[in-house]
Amino acid sequence: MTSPAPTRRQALTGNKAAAHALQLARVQVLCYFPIGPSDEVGEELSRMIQRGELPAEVIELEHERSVMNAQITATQSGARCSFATNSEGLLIAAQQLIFASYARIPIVIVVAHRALEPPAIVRSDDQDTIMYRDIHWMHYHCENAQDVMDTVIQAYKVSEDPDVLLPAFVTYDGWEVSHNSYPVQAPSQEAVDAFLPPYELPAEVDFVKNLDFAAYYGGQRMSGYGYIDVEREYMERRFQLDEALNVTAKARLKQAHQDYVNLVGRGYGGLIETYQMEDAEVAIVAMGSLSSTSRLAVHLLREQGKKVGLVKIRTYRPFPSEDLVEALRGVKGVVVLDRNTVAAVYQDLRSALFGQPDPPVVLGRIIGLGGRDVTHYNVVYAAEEALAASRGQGSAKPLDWHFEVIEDEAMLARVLNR
Amino acid sequence: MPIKMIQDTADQRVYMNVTANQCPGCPENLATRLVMHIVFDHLKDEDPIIFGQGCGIGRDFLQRSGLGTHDSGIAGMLTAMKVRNIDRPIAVIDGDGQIDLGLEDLATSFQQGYKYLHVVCDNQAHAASGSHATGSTAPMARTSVRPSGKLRHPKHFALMLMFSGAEYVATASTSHPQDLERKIKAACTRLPAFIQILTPCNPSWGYDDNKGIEVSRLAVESGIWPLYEWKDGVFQRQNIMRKSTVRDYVGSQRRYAHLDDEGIRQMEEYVDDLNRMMIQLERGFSSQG
Repeated sequence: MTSPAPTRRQALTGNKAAAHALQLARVQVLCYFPIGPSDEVGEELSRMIQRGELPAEVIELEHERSVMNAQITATQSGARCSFATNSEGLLIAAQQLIFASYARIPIVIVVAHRALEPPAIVRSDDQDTIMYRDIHWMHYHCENAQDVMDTVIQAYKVSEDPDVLLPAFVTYDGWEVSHNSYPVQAPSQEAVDAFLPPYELPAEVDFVKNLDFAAYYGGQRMSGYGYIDVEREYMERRFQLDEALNVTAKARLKQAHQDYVNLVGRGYGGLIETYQMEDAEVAIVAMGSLSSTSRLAVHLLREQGKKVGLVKIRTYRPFPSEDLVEALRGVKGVVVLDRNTVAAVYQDLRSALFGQPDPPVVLGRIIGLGGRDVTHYNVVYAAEEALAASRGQGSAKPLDWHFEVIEDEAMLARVLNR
Repeated sequence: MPIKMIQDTADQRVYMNVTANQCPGCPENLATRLVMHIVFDHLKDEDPIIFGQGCGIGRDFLQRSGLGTHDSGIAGMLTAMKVRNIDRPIAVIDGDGQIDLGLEDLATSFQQGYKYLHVVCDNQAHAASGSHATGSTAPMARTSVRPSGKLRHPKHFALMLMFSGAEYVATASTSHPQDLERKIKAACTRLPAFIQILTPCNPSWGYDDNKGIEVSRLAVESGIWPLYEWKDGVFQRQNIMRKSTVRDYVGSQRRYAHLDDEGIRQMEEYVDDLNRMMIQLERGFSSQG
């Protein structure tokens, strides 16, 4: 198949890239409630609707809980929906988040990360979605606006797969990605249409169209109290949920990514992306915009002859355990950059590596919380710690918090010699 | 026809929510069946959608994510149906918990003008969870968290909705099924519409299982549950003979067993105030303008 002609490259913020991707995905219902820094996604889509560029209806209710609930029922009723929110918006809708995954409803939510309060904060870290790591959502962490655009389109494809049917967060760093302009090349509408078919419900669950409610309520009733058979069903459904996320979705994610690369000619790896890992002795593991910062750090370290590479985790859930074990085979040291308070990636990676032959030394670094700056010198410093630890030198703790912003080479040298 | 249905259920189709296992004689269950019957009968050419959840209502497969979210759920359903060119009327039936924890969704969906009928079966308690008080529980009534009686007056949610987007608002009672039938039919052409039906609860209120209708009749006739209707800009009370007293009503239920004469006097005062408000509303929003 030949790729359709690429469209013009344009400057877009992460939020606008998400909005354009949602337009290309032909969302039919825009679910909207304002919260910065995600707000711009809904605003941009509203303008598209007003200009007649997007035939969609708007749902605008009183908070994220009701809006997400409407998104769930609209999706159950056969419409593809969009919604962008973050932090407190995700907190108030906790019940809806769990309903969506446990009821297997393929909604996609765009999240421009924002740190949780208190204390009052508008800047970014990953905590708002990381805290939902255990409810079987898919978590995509995007690096820049181009990544946001391509991932949003792929997210609908994977979520709506009849064997997956799981909701997804497509996340990116608030402000750093949401409000910075990047060069973005949108795929053509023809390519997206070829990749992502219209959302259709199977006839047997399309109740707004097919169910005769009078016959349903007039028919034979089962007894019980609305609960399922605990002995036969509950655990089995949870098992199916887990299989859908950790087995099926992993395969479909990689397939969707490959299909997308074939159509659009651009891709960032399926579950992970590696950079200069071929001969690496030490690997930096990062997500989101920290991956870009880490690439620069890898470049600086390579200039000094230090064999350092980067593994970018693209999907925090499903957690790419197998891919990471494979990518880190032969590596002596790893440093994980975690922009959350529980060192979630560090803990999951340690679990994945447990019992592997010759595992690397793994360091976890909690960094950049509440939008604190993380420079490439910070990443160089963390990588130097891992280099030392991999040789059995230094006294770095396995898990540590990095508070200091290392602003320049002179400061880096000072900190390294401390 | 509801009356015929009650008398002659053997020949009639009985609509039951899935897995509704109620106490014998549950008025909420009766109200649910009446509403379903009237709506399915009246709108049979339009293929209505009915769902909902509550203690006497049951749980259906359209269980929503979390309590109090039926109305935002309907906003989503109606929007998706609009996008897909599907036109079916929607009615939701749930309990009085909805006017507390579903208040935001209910008020907003009405304010936004989503066209549907919302029926609340009001048993003045979180009856499936130990009969705790709701915002609808009458004053002085004993509840599981206030054994000495509820202190505050209830919220009159139907009246709140009158000024917040509703095209039709009414109260009803299972003791007056013809009135209920007329109101549901009137509501079907004036959406969004809200109907609050008084449905006593045997274990919460403390009366014998066969007395449900009698207790709701006492509530209407003593004036503690005024029947009214807000339609086409006119507020109208239903003319009900005040054949019973507040003392008759509270005497019929163990949840008022702790009331002494002073307590009953306060209840009478509450009922007088309530009915004075009804008269003033009727004068203010009369058909004479």
